[in-house]
Amino acid sequence: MTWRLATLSGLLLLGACALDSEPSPVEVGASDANAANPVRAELELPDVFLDSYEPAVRGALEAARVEAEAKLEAAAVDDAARAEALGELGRVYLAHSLEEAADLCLRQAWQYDASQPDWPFLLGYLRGERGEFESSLEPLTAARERAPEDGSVRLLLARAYLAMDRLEEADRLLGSASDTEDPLVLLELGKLARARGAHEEAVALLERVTALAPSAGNAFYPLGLSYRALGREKEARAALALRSSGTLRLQDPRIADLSEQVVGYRVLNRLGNEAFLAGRFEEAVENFQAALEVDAEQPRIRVNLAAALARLGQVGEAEAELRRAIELDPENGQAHFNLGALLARGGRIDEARRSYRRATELDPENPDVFYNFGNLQLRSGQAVEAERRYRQALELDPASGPARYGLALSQIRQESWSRAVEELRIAVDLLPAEAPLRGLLSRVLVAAPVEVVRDPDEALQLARALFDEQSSIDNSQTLVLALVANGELVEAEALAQRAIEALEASGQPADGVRSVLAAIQGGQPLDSLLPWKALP
Amino acid sequence: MGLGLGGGCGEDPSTVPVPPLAEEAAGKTPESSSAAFSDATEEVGLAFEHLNGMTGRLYLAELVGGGVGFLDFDLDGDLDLYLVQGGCLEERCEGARDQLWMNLLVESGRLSFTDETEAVGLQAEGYGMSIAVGDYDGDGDPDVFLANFGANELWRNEAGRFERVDVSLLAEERWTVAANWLDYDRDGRLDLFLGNYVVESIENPQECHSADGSIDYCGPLAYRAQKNRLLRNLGGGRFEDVSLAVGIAAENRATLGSIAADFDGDGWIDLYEANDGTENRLWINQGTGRFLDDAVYAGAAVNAAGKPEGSMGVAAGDYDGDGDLDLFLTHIAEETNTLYENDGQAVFTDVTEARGLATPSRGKTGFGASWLDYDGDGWLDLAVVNGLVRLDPRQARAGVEHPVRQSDQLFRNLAGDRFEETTSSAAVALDVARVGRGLAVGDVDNDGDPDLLVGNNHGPARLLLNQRGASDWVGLRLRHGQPPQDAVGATVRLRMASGRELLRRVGTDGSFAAAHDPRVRFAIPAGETPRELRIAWPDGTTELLPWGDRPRRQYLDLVQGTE
Repeated sequence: MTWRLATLSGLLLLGACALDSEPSPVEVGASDANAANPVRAELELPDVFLDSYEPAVRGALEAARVEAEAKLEAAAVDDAARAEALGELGRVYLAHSLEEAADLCLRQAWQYDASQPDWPFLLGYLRGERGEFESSLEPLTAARERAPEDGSVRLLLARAYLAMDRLEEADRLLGSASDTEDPLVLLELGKLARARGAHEEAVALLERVTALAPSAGNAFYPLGLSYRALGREKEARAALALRSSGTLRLQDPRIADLSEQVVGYRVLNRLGNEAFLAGRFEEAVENFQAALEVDAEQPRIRVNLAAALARLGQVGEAEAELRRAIELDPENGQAHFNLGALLARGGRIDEARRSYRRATELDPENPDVFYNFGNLQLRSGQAVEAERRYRQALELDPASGPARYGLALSQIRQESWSRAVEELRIAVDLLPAEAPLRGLLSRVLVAAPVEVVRDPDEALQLARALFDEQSSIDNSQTLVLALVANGELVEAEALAQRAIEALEASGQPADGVRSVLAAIQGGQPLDSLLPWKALP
Repeated sequence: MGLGLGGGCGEDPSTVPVPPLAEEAAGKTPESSSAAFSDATEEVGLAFEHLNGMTGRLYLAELVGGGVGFLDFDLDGDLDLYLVQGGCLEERCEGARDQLWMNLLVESGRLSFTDETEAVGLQAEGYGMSIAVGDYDGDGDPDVFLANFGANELWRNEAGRFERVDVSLLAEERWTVAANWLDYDRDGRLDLFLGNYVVESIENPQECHSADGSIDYCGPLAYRAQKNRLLRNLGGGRFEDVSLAVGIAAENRATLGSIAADFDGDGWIDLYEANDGTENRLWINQGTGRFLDDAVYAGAAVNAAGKPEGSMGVAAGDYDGDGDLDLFLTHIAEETNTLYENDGQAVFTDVTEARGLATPSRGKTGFGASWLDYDGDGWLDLAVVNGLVRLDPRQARAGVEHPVRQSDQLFRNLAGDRFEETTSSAAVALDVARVGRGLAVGDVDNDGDPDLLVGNNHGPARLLLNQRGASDWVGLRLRHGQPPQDAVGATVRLRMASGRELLRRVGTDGSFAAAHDPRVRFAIPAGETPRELRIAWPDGTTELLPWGDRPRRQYLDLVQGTE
């Protein structure tokens, strides 16, 4: 058997793994590497696209290719060494999302050294991530044969079978739930039970997952659907609402190491964004910082870094990054906006106001800027100015529930009760799941000092619905007020007593409810008890 | 109910038969040919090239257009073609206009088309995306709404000539792609839902990169999504924005597709919204003038893995024959298309993998999609047109202009159990790499089987004739109101002697950027005999009609309450 490298041309060809048409040493699956030089045809990329690559990425990929070439030249007839060179290059490509190139390299690495389980593992992982479960089976099966105790391989293989509706094979791989506390295995077992229609079992398994990993959004979704199948609508809705709370992912050093291969600020920035969106803020910071090491003059990445730092509570560092971003690009509306938000959070109202004002000038079509500006004005007692900002936000996005809510609050501060109620009703329509909003509407309908606005019946209806949904202390208090307003004092008194107990037990002040209770018991007029200005 | 033959024009449209296309004129291939669809574009004289105005700056807007539609604008009983044009984004283009091609089938007995755009007064001005066809003024002929990148346009059909209607609300949108006519409040007038996409600035374009860092088209999340709107038809050419009042004004999402149908079987028209990169919404009509989004609980917001997908096209049809409308969504190459099976109560289950639709859609970016019974076995098959939204390095290297091409697909429904891809055997004409966007389904040659009109972005529109349709069939044009107009939103069930029931919906919407034939067709499988029709009309009433001795193999005109 002989081999030779494909001739490379152009700035960068990703066909560094190219072999000639000689048979491969290990016959595995559909060995299309055996076809007449398919590699070069598959992987060549046009120069036009290569030109658009970042220099750092281009350099890294070229260097990796050159290194691989050198190793392959040196490897002579040592198949294991060839496999190592191809596999390492495949890892570089995989790290840079060059999936087809990675697939080819890893496939050939596996062919040259079938005793090494890592290459088929990575190949199976890559294919599974692309949703190509069927073609992931062969490499994963091979990896499992070489490393039967490898839990990651077993899990990926089970996941592939499950995705393909091959439940028996998945079942055999996953084993018994009683043998594991691994949330990933339990998750797959839960999905397997769901696929079989065993929803009680699925619920039990998936509840274990969410207990072990409370931010496992990918467990809450199937859990919600199984609750739904069992007719447990309330629990279903609650679980489904947590579907985006995070992702439980495979932790394997062979995969985690990939990110260390990444160079290039664009890709690092993308990885940072992905980590940020998944709530992995420390990882996001690392990626953004690495991106800035490649190119420190990217204001957008500094803005991203600041956001991640702020989430970690590193406010000073975040502010510094935002100011640096503004130095680099004084017209960057997002940087001014985020700086305004950061300053507002820190109570630096005047500085925040300046930043927001600049952001509104630079990004006049962004409703969020006006909304945040409105919040700042409201907090600083500028209700008229706040109303103006909320209205600007609503002009840009009439369906913004939060802006509608802010508008209502600014009107309450101005004692424009009728308009406030009107806006609150719209806000409730826009944000039907926001219980505090409905609570506020109920309280305003009870306690507004303008007779014409009050509607105790509607207030009670709202408050009862809220309390039925969740018997929290807040909702108890809201219901007490509505009951009092409707003259249902016996129920109000009992509920007030329970609310006081709950407040005391949780260490919260109970004076408000206590005074209501005393008023009920003493027969005092309700109006004197409801400090409506404190409602919002 | 007036049950006549066909829907031609004349003194009494309900009694004029629609002539089926002569065999020889259609150029039907012998039965020995296994292909169902053949490309008849040149043969019928259709010549339309979509221009997207690309300049190399990779605007997202240039990647989306390619709308197509069927409509019988002259009410002569055959389907005419509407082709939506793009144009230039950076400057005004002369000569790039939408086109209306008139079908000469009824007049000449031969399927052929002639460009009548100028003759009928249509002078669409916008950078077009899609078309929605509906008789919004209730005068019995189909009007045209054009969704644009920029101000939208409404064109009223007045006895075969079009006049632009000045509706200020329609000019406010920045970029509309999805549009549906629906009578959500049952007042007899068609209201208009506008599914808006994102805000893209041509003056200040975004620069985006692919996963590997190379410059590429941006995805939707790089832009600010726009709000969707529902415009209530007040009559007299007036519309009112009721988005807030009906509850559909919610968090802005980048909408590309939408379809209006009664998903929960309560007789009220609901609305499904396909969003690109964010969760889809299912607006359930409460029957009180309000909609509530219940997509998450319904299991139709995200796929089985709980992930939102890049939804583009959407189709509603009863693929499993259980009497309710299931949903099919097209998605980007990194995802699969998704089939949501309805349990009849608008509770859905993602059955994509189980029905064999996942694997063939991986690697494909689907846009237009529609249910159709192309092989006449009574089961709804699927057609999907594809075209990437990211540059394909291999195509670019090969010097392909607009390197985002992919071939289209046809899937045969195996009795509601699984789908098999039949592109290579039954629709070789679809197996050509273009940038598929719009897909409209209609019986353009009136032979009782569904034909395809495909709109390609920066490419030619293609008309594919079905040559292997049902040997026995019935076609219905359901109409209501006075004068009678297409009963958009109705559903009709045809029960066979065996007890088998076929469900079809009357609607021109769905797919992507397309308008379908408003008529419905039922193939009568061998050994079956029609027994009974059950029609759920848009006003909520139901009619049960025995089939009796009604004729078959032609289109029948059924007008609500006249039988």
